[in-house]
Amino acid sequence: MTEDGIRLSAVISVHDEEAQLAECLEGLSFADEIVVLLDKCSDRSGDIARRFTDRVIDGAWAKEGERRNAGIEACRGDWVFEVDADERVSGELADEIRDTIRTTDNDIFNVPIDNYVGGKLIRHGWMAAMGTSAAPRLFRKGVKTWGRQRVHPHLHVTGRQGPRLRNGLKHLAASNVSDLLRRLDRNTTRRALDLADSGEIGSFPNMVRKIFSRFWKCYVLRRGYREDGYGFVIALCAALYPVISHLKAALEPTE
Amino acid sequence: MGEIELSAVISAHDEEAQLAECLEGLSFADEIVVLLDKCSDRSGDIARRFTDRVIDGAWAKEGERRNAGIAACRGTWVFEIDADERVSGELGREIRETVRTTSFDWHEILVDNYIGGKLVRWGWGASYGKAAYPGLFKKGVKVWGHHRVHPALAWAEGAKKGPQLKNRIRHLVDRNISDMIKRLDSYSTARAKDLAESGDIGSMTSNVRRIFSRFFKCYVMRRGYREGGYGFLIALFAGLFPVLSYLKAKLEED
Repeated sequence: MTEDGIRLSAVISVHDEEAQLAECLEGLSFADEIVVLLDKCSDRSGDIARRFTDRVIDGAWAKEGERRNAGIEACRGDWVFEVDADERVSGELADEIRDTIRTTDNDIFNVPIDNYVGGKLIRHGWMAAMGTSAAPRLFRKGVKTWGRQRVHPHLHVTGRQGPRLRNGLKHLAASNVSDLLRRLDRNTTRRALDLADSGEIGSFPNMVRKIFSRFWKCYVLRRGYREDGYGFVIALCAALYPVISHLKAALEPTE
Repeated sequence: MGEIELSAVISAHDEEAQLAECLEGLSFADEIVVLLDKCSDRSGDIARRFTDRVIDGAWAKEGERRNAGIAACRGTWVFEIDADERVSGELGREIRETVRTTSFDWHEILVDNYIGGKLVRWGWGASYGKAAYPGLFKKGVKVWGHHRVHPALAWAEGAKKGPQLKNRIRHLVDRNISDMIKRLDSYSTARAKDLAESGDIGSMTSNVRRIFSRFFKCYVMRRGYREGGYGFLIALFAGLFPVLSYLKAKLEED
């Protein structure tokens, strides 16, 4: 334990999340400290955050990876638990996290993510571009750094991976089909910026092929078909993510 | 009243960014009728700079609104236009010439669709964009159906269709790909409401088939492939429109 008695830090970075933030922060009282990064916020997110913690950092980060690294950097605990504003921690998950860090020799843990669309738990058929089913959110400070991409930054991980936690993080991924389409639009815009930055936007035929391979992966291999219509829409969005990102980068010069 | 040969009619819902430029091109008509549908921006002020025939109201469905606009026209002929469309001087003159000389009851106008600054000529259709529309007609021959999106048209019995006009209307359909996705979203939401109301939302299988048939129609038959990436996206979104409408109607109450 550090000299401050801070063993576990919960960290969240937000961009104008006044609608979600309070409910999310209410679930984080199990941590020894809460760190909130306010990224270019112009709404009441800051006021809400300060009701829960005095560790609030205001700033502007161009890329998601940089922002997440800054958040981890600000944590004073030995352990870091990363959460997003649209996620909720249950009492069971909180207990399991505290238990885990008390007893483990491992350095990093995957936390299952239960993705909800509307009020419905959608268990199957996710893919990183639209939502993921587990993520390494609990780790000893120092073992995980984010890459510099705007969207879905890569991870650099050192240390020993422990078993996946049993309790899931509740992710309110989207409220309906429109919301999924907005997510597709937002993520492809950011991905297009990363592609343009990298100078390598890929080839159109290749991206068209990916429509079919990714749809197959989500809908069939990851069993999105079990989820009725939402599984279809999620597979479709994941399938179209590369080609739409590519076309935005190819056709629409930025800034 | 007898001297009104041609009315131009436009219905607008919060179009302050587009409206002035559109109305500037309509001075060739004898009167301009503007319907303000649930406007909360400066559309009304802008409209009144161009005409005193401004009607405020709230219409639940596109078809009803369009019919109300036509009903308010006093001219023998009606020219229908949207806020994101622009009429060139040549098209204005051709319209006047046509209504003076034609022996037909209605004429189609070809549409040049622009995405951002780029003219995208090929591949439109299948309820995601139009390549031509019956925008010039004698009052009374054209009635819109009661749908929220893409209402069906009914023509008076015996109404004769004339040749297409030669000059094209300029349609600023989308600024970019994000706009295209947003339009797919809003069209399919409106269509889902129509489907839910009709009581027959169709089947998943047939709507999945339509992805491919509509894509083929736009990309191949209507030669969207000539337009590169935008042609591909138009065909893709035209293909996805029915299945997304169906799924919204099936999965979501409102």
